Parts: sequence; structure tokens; C-alpha cells
Amino acid sequence: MKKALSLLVFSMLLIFCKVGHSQTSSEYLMKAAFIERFTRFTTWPNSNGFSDNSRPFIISVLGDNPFDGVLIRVFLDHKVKNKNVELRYLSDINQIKDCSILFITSKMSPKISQIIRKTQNKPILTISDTPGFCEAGVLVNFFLLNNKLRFEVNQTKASNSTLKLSHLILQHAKIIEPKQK
Amino acid sequence: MRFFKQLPLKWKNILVILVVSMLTTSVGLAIGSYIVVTNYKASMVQKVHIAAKLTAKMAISEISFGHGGEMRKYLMWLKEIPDLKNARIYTPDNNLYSALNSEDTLPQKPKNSKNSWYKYDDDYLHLSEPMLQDGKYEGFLYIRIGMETLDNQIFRYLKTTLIILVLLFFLSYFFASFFQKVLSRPILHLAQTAQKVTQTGNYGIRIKKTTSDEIGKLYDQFNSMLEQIQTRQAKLKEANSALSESKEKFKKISSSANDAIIVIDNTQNIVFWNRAATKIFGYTKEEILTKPLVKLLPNNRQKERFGVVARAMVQQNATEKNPSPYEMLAIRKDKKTIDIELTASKIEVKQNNHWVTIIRDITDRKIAQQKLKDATEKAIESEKLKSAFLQNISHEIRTPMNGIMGFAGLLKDPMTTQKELHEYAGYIVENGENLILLIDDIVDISKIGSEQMTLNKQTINLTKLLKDIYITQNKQKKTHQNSRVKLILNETLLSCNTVIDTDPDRLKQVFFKLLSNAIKFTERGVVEFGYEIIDNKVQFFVSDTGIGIEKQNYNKIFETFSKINKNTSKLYCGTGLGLAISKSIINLLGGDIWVESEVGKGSIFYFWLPLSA
Repeated sequence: MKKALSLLVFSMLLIFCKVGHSQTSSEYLMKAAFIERFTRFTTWPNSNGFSDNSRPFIISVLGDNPFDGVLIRVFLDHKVKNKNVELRYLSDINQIKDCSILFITSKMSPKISQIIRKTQNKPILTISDTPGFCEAGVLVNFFLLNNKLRFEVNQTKASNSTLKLSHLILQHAKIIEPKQK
Repeated sequence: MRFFKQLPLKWKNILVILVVSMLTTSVGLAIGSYIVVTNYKASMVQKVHIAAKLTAKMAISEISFGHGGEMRKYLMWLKEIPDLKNARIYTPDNNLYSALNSEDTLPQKPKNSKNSWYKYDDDYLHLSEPMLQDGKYEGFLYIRIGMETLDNQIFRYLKTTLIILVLLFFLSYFFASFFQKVLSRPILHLAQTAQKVTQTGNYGIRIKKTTSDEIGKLYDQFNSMLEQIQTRQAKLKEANSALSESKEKFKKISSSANDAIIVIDNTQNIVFWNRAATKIFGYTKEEILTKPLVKLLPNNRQKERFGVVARAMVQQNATEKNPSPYEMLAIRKDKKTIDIELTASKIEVKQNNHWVTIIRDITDRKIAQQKLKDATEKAIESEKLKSAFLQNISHEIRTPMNGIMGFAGLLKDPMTTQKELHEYAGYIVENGENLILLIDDIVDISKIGSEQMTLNKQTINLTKLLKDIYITQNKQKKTHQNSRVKLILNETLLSCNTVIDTDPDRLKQVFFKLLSNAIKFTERGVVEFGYEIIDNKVQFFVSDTGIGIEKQNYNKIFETFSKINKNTSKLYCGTGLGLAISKSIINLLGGDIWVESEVGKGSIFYFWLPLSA
């Protein structure tokens, strides 16, 4: 089952990499796939009942949903860390609660510092696809280079976080080290 | 192994040390080689495994985030591994995803596994590392490495080992030949000393002790052994000289003894024989030793007697009395029987009973004894005879003397007539003649007794002699008026003129005595005499028809003064000397006399003389 799924994802990845022109949906399919990869290379602390597998693995999308059902397709019947995945679509900052991954859309840029503060010291992998967000304090920020999906990682943030990002992630990331802190 | 046994001690030691050192070194080196190779392999696996793990992780991240474009970059890291043949990444469904060298070849597809594994085969190390991330299998990395470097390394190692082994061999040999001396030198020294002792026979040699180990003890033992031998030899020498001295003494004693000393063993075989024994029995020592003693005994009676004697002797010895010697008969080698005097005693030699017999030849002594005995008996006899003789003589002399004296008295009687005178004178003459005859006889007897009888030998004609005797006897018979007896000379035998060399007077004397006896003891009948020639002898005979003689008296009548019948002696008076004188004369003439008779019918006296002297 797992094998089959991995194969599926892998194949999709290949397909969408090559079929670059269907810009929006393929781009977000890639991003959804990458999010799934990040779950593999990231370790969440076992505090706050994370080790309880009956609780779902919560992925929240803050702002307007740009994935257009791609996320559901990727995480449908897919388990992360032996947990069922629950997708939440949020519009208010205050709705951020005990999620494990928080995707912050570019619409939320005015409130970014507020969001960062809200997620500070929590085991939440913050992901965005807006330039400058990484410097603002988001852990992982997607960007496109030569029409290929890349990502940058705020190293300071990552090393201060209770999450553990595999160095293999960092291997492929562009490292951002904000000097303000 | 036989070859090894024949090697000298030095080479044995060297060989043993060499074999042991080479064996241990080889085993050590082999174990070392094995460990080195195994370690090398293990460390290679470890190194490659770490690189593979890292590369696999990188490959996962590349697959996850790097769009796969830079996969070869990660595989390139593995290029640093020496002798790398293949480095490939396979998809989970075992399809090749990426390879380090696009032209590289692989004889067979690697095993698909979610576990890391490695395998050495003859020429390659195969290693596979799965690409797993958070439980998701993304394929595997496969690496194949050639063994050239390892082989080189092993070869180099073996070369070094071999060189070390050779060097060690020479080193071992050097040390072995040096140290073997420590072991072999004292033993060689011992061997040389032992050889020296054997060759020179000098047991005074001692080996100097240098160590106090087992060899030192061996030296001590060797020395004490030599000492014992030396002491024993000295004692033996002493004992030998004492023995030879006593042997010499014994030999001299035994050979100087005049008596035979003969020793026999339990089975009565002779085991010792001295010189005197040879002299007595005629057997040499070589002839008689181991022969039974009974060989020296003439008959079964003596053999039995010997047993009895020996036992008795031993018994006497046991009671500590001096055994008195026994007299026995023995037989010499020349079958001559000898008288011996024997003393026996039992001795014990080496727990065997032996009998020592001492034998003295007493044959000469026996003869002397017998002679002495005979002489004594004779003396006693002659003493008796002498008194009897005197008694007889006095009687015989008295009788005619009485007649003479009686008739001489009558002569003095004046009343005696002339005729009576003549008659009486006749009686006196007759008695006087008898007396003279008697005195002649006595003279003869005493001559014979004192061996003073002399013979006057002449060559005479027997026929003539006998005729003379006949004539004289016939005349005498007539004078004695014994006419009832007829005297015959057997003339049939007188035909030839036999000549004999003898004393005629003595022969005549014998005939006169025999004839007068015959006539005297014959009442009536014939007295015949004559001779015949038998076997170069002249055999005379005088036969009568008289009273005869009992057989038991045949010999007695020839003894001096013997008269058979006391009753008839009165009737036939005589001295009883006649036959004794006759026998003595005939014996002197070299002949013999005997009688054959039948009581009441008559007697024949035979005597013979040698024809030629």
C-alpha cells in the first residue's frame, strides 16, 4: 500500500515536473507533494499528545486555499507519522491552534509578524510561498527558480524550533539566516 | 620416524626445536593472516557501508527534493572507493534508476531488499543499502567492488609472512644449534665418559657434575654406579685371589694325599677325582668324571654294601663319632679286584648333597695280614705237632728200646741156652734196626722241616731202579716172613727204557716207605707197583688189597705223625712219618702224591714226577 502510494506520488512528481505549463494547479500539486515530503524529513516532538496516534495529523491552510483540492488528493488515505491526516482551511489567525503544519498563503502578508508570534515556540512547521516570508520567520518558503520548485529555510528559526528538520532538507534548501535576531 | 631415531642427539634437538618453532610460527602467521584478511574485509565492508548509507540518504533527498537531476553527483562520491566496479540506484520495483558509469556492466540483477546486505564472493564484494525515509521505501543502492586491492594486500602479506618464516627458520636454526648444546652436551659428555670407561676398563673415572637437573642426577647415578662397580671389582679381585689360593691349596692337598678322594653327587655320579684315585683305580680324571661310582665296584653285593656303608658312615658323622673305615672290594680299570678301606661323609655344596669318600688301597696290607695269620697258625700247629711228635717219638723209641733192654737182660741170664741167646740177639738187632730206621726218619723230617734236605740228581733208568726196589723189597719181605702178601712189579709198563733226571736214593726211599706201608696194612693179597708215562710226566703207583682209607682222611695221612686209627695203631706200629716224608720228597722233586682208596678193599697211592727237569 505504502509502496504503491509512494510510487504514485513519485510518478506524479515526475509528470508534473515535466508538464510545467499548467502553471497553477501543477505548481500547487508540486507544493502539496513537497509538503508530504517535509513530513517525512521532519520530526515532531512527542509533547502535547503528539505520540497519541488516535489524534489526527493536522495540516492547516491559513488564508484562501490555493491548492484547489490537490492537498486532499495527496493526503487522502495517507498517514503521516502513523496518524490520519486532517486538513483544515483557516481564515482567521486565531483559528491557529494545535496544527502540525501551517501553510500561510501570500494574502496573510500584512499579518505575518502576528502569525509568527502566534506560532512561536510551538511545534508547528510553518510553510509559505511568498518571497520575504522566510526572512520574516517562516520556516520553509517555496520559490521558483528556472521554472523549478525550490525552497528556502530559515536556519535560525529551524535550529531554535522544537521541530527537527533533517539535514537532507537543508541539503536542498536555500538557507536564510536573518541577522536581526 | 626410523630415520629420526638414527639421528645423533644434536640433530634430534635441532630438529625438534625447529619443528616446534616453525609449527608455532606457521600457525601464528596463518591465524594472523586469517585475522588480517577477515579484518580487512570487515573494515572494507564497514567503510563501504558507511559511504553507501550516506549516499543512499543523499539519493533519497535527491529523489524527494532535487528532481533527480543530480543523482550522479552523489554516486560520484563513491568513486573514491578503490576497485569500485558498479554503483547503482534501483527503483523499488528493481529497475535501474541511475548508475555511476553509464557503460558499466553487471552480470546479473542485484537482489532487491529493504534491508542492507553484503556478500563476498570469489572476486567481488557486493553491498546493497535500501533507501528508506520515514518508513517509505524509495529503492536501493547497489555497490560492487573488485578484490584486486585485497588480493594484492593478501599477496603482499603472504610474501612478508613467507620472508618472516624463512628468516625465522634461520634464526630458529641458529638458536637451536646454539641451545641444543645445553641439552646434548652433558649427555654427549656422559656418553663419551661411559665409552672411555668401557674402553679403558678404568672404573675410577668420575664425571664432573655441572647441573643439578635430571642430567645432574643422572651424572650422580652414573658416578655411584661406577663406584659400586669399582668396589665390587676390587672385592671380586680379592675374592678371586682368595679363591684361587684356596683352590691351589685344595688341589695340592688333594693331589698330595695318598688316599683316593672321590666325591659323588646325589645321583652317585663322580664329580671329583684326585691323583691318588687315578693311582689306585687306574682311571684318569677325564675318563671317570660324571661316571657312576658303581663302576668301581666289582659286583652287586659290593654295590649294595656301599650303600649300607655310606649310610652308616653318615649316621656316624651325624653323631660326631669318628667313623671307622669299612673294608670293601673294588675293581680297577684293568679288572683286577683290590681291597679297599673306605670312609664316607656327607657334605652340602650349593644345597646339593655330595658324598666324600676316602679310599685306601689295602691289598698289600691284606696280603701281609693273611701271611701273618697263616704264619701264626702254622706256628701254633707246628708247636702242637712238635709236642705230638715228641710224644710219639718217645713212644716209638721206647718200644724197640724196651725190646732191646728186655732181650739184653735175658742175655745176661746164665740159664739162657745158646739157641735162645741167638734168638734174643736177633730180636735185639731187629729192634735196633727199627730204632735206626726211626732215627733216620726223624733226621729226614727235621731236615725237611728246616729245609736242609739236599737232592743229588742223576740220570737214571727207571726200569732198572724199580727192579732193584723189587728185589730189595722181596728179600726184606722174606726176612719179615710176611708170606701171605705177594709183591708184584707191574712189568707190562716197563718195556721201554725210560730215563729220568732225579735223585734215585730219594725215589727209592719213597718206594720203600710206600711199599712197606702197603705190605704192613695188607693182611693178605697183592701189593703191586709200577709206572706209566702220561703227558710228559711219569706217574707211579703202589696198590694194595689192604684195609683201605676213608675218604675224609685222604689228605690227613700225608701229615706228620698222623695215624688214622688209634685202635689199629697197636697192630700196625710205625712212626707215622713215612707218608709225610714221601710227600715232602716228591714235592721237592717237583711232583705230587695222592691216594685213591676203598675201605676194606685196598688203596692205590699215585705220585708223579716230571719227565725232564
